[in-house]
Amino acid sequence: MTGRCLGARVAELADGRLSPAETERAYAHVAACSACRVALEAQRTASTVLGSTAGTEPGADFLARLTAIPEQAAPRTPPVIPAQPAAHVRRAGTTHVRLHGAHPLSSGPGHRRARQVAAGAAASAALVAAAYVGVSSTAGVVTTPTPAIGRVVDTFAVEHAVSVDQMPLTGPQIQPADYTGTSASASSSPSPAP
Amino acid sequence: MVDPTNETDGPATPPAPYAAPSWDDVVRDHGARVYRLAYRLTGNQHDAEDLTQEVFVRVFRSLSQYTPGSFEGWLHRITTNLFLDQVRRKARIRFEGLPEDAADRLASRETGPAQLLDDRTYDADVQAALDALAPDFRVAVVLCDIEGLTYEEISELLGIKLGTVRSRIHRGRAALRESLAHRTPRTAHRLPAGGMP
Repeated sequence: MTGRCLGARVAELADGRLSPAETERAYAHVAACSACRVALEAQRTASTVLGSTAGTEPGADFLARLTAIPEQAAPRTPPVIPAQPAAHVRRAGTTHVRLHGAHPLSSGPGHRRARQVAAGAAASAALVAAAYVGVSSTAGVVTTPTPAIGRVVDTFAVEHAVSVDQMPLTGPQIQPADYTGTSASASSSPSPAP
Repeated sequence: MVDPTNETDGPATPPAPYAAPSWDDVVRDHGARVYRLAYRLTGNQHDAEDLTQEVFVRVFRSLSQYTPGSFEGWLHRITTNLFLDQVRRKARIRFEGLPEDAADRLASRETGPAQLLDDRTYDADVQAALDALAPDFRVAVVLCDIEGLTYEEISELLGIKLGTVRSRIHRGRAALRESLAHRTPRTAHRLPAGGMP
């Protein structure tokens, strides 16, 4: 018999991890040693069988559960300041600023009150925009679109509108109907009813 | 620095090769793979789903700290380490008072008929043979022969020495071969390739 028995190195022999010289010596030994021959065969068979079996696929319902993780995990996410705010957060802020910045234009010429309200709206939009920057710098950890950011922003926007006795902020879907038709009444109507 | 077109844009430009994937992308690209690994390690649908779920919750929470380029390695690491943590936690509870290596010497879980029947396509006898391995050996063998990791990658991932990786793979496969003796009896007479005349 040539050389010592391979022991655990038989795994490396099976995996082709030994140097050419080591491999040659190992095979010379295996040729003469039935125990190592059996051991080598066992390594190869086990490896081949494992590598050739199909895995078990997850069910579609389970994958849907994984997809829904952000909705469950978001409220518990600790604030982490990222290098760059998530793009969608900035987009959301931009959308709202444009929305309120558009009031003076869409309310048209004329009524002073409309202009005042519009100016106030623009000012509040600036405040809200500033708030968005704060939100995006502290909650930007959420790098995928989740409802959490939107809820935070919406809540703040409503609170802000109430606290400054301003016209409530409206969603983008309401804007065309409210501000393109009857300009003056649309702009003044959101004030609290007397 | 090899790409001159980037120089004009400066550092403010988002890194072109990497765009943060959406969560749907992450689940679509990696969900099934993590689940398959989790199933190999845990041996049944229920535990595989629990493990996979926990992996993805961790992934979601630390996605912002993820550095591009090693997502698969990251998932391997989280999955196997979570699995081994769970095994050790259960082992401590169950085998309190037994010797330290009891978990290694005892088969970790029972393979009941329900587990053998509860899935669709995989080979139940292979899974049963894996289940009969101690978790540390199972992890090493699965990472090597199913996930295709190198000894070095496994060593790094599990924080164990290369010699330990080799030993676990060797012993794990040897035990598997015995469990699967019924499966491929004809190969028992096969001669090592290249080593025999």
